[in-house]
This record gives sequence, structure tokens and C-alpha cells, in this order.
Amino acid sequence: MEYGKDYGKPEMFAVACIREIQEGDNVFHGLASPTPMVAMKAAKVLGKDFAYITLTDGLDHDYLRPPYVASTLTENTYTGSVATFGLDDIFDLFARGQGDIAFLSCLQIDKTGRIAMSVLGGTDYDHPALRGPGGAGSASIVPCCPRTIIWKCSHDTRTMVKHVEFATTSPAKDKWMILITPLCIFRKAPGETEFKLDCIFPYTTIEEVKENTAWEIEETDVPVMDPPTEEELAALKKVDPNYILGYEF
Amino acid sequence: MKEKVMSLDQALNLVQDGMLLAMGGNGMHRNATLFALGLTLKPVKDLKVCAAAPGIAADILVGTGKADRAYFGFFGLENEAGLAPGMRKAMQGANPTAKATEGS
Repeated sequence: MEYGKDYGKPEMFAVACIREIQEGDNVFHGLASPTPMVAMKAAKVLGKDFAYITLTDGLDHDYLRPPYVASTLTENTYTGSVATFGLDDIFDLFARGQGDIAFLSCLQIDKTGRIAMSVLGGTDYDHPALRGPGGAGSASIVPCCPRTIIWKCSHDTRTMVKHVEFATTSPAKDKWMILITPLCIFRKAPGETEFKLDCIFPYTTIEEVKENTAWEIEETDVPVMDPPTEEELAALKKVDPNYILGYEF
Repeated sequence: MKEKVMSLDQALNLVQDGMLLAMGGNGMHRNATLFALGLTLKPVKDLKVCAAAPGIAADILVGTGKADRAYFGFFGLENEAGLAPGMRKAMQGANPTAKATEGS
């Protein structure tokens, strides 16, 4: 596999998401989440046995129907569902400990996993420089979720900041938080309070990751994740012929 | 249910100053957009809006100054239309015209 020829950052990113999903997981993504959507559909093609839960309130929809837009609120993630439920059921699922993975995103994130989704800058919460869309339930789900995956399709010092001033949510100390970017994966293990660089992708270096991260990275030697396999790339293409995956990159 | 079915004008005439409106739909989907546009032509004021994921309809009401508070979990138009421009205009900067109450 050759970067730029057989795959690019979107494919590597999606494959990193797919590889996080384990057999038997209950996996959730919400609205405005085209990258996890494509990754989760492809994971189904690859035969991973997990429950696909999404904000259209459908469980295990017909993942082979290709999405035409980047919205994850369309019937594309609902039609063919084997069961339907109410929005409150998603929160109840995680609150009673039966959710496994939640794919969530952010405007900014810091080394402790504090996430900004509400406001950036300005003088206070009511007078921000930028009003964000809000947490979309992340403050309720993150404390209960065993493996929160923060997916962010850009990696720069404006996004990976030294300190998030107003945190919409913070990670639970006893749970995993995984941060996937186009360059690498960071992990905060249960019992730990900060991200550690876990691995980098084949086309980058630790130096490039450090240059684009505002917090200090102490790791000096981390593994390089294997590039996408032909099977993984074929699965992505099968569920996403309109290349919705490229939308956020 | 039958008595709930009415014309757009009849529905618009139910709205009074200061009312809290529960907005249907999510993001750009299944929004009461015509209803929101109709309200901009009415002399009502100080409205509040609430929804799990308010989108284009609530954005019209907040952005035009008809609503001065929104209760929400996620207020936006999803990827292709991006952040909600009316909401941002009304809720950020030194002199906001509307308040945000997040239920996240």
C-alpha cells in the first residue's frame, strides 16, 4: 500500500476507527459524523459483529445503501433498521453501562481530554468569540462510556491546544479516551489523566505530530500503524461509492 | 389529533410574546421552516426555542431577533451547511441578542 496512490489520510483515518471496534461492541455515532458513519458501515462489511446505533434512532440499518450527502441524520442511517428507539434510549444505554464506544468530536481538545464544543474565546460563556454548536450529549455520554473515541479530521495547534478554557465535557478518570487525528492516535488509559501518543500513521513522523500539537508530547518512540489493507479499502469503497469520506479532509 | 391539524396561519396566530416553542426536526431535516419564516412576519417578540438539535427553523428565529433564548443539545446545520449562522450572530461577541442554555 502506497500513501497517495492506494490510500490517503481519509482512508487511514477511517481504518483507524474501524480497528477500534471490537466484537460485540455497542457503537454509537451522532449527527454531523460522516467519517465515523463510513467507517462503521465498512466495519460491517468486514464482518465485525457489533451493534450500530445512531441518532436517527435506528439500530443496524441497511449499511450497504450508499450515502449521498455528509449528513448523518438522513434516512440513509435508518432505512432497514432491525429496531428503532427513542433518543433518550441512547443515553439510558450508556448510563446503565451497556454502551461500549461513542464517536464524538470537538472544536478543541487538550492533553487531559477536556473538550470544547460550546464556546471559544471572548470574555465569558455569554460573550464568546465563537459560539459553537454545543456538546450534543457528550457531557452525558463521556462519563459513562468505556471507550470514548474523539475523532477530529484536522490536526493543528489551533485544535490540539495546551488548555481548553471552557470544557463542554471532560473524560472520566476510570475510562478510556482515544483521540484519532489524520496523523496519529492518542490514548488516555483508565487511571491516567493525560493522553499519551499511542501510534503514528505511515506517512508522518513524531516530529510532524509534535509540530502540530500545542501540548508537550513526551513519547519518543511509538509504533507506526499498519497501512490500510486491500480488504479494508475495498470495504470503504463498497459502502461509500460517492466518497462522502473525503468530505471532512 | 384532528383538532391539532390546522393551517399555517392558524398555527402562527397561536404564538404570543414570550412563548417557549418546541421545535421539531433535527439540524436541516424535518424542520418547521415555513412556520419560522411566517413568524418573522408577525409582531411577536421575546420567544424562546427548544429542541434536541435545533437547526434551520430555530436559526431563523434566533438570527432575526424573534427568539432571545435557545435551549439545546446541539444547535447547528450539520456538515454541509456548517455552524448555524443566525445563532452565532445572535449568541457571540460583546453584545449578544440571545442566550444559549445547553442541555448536554
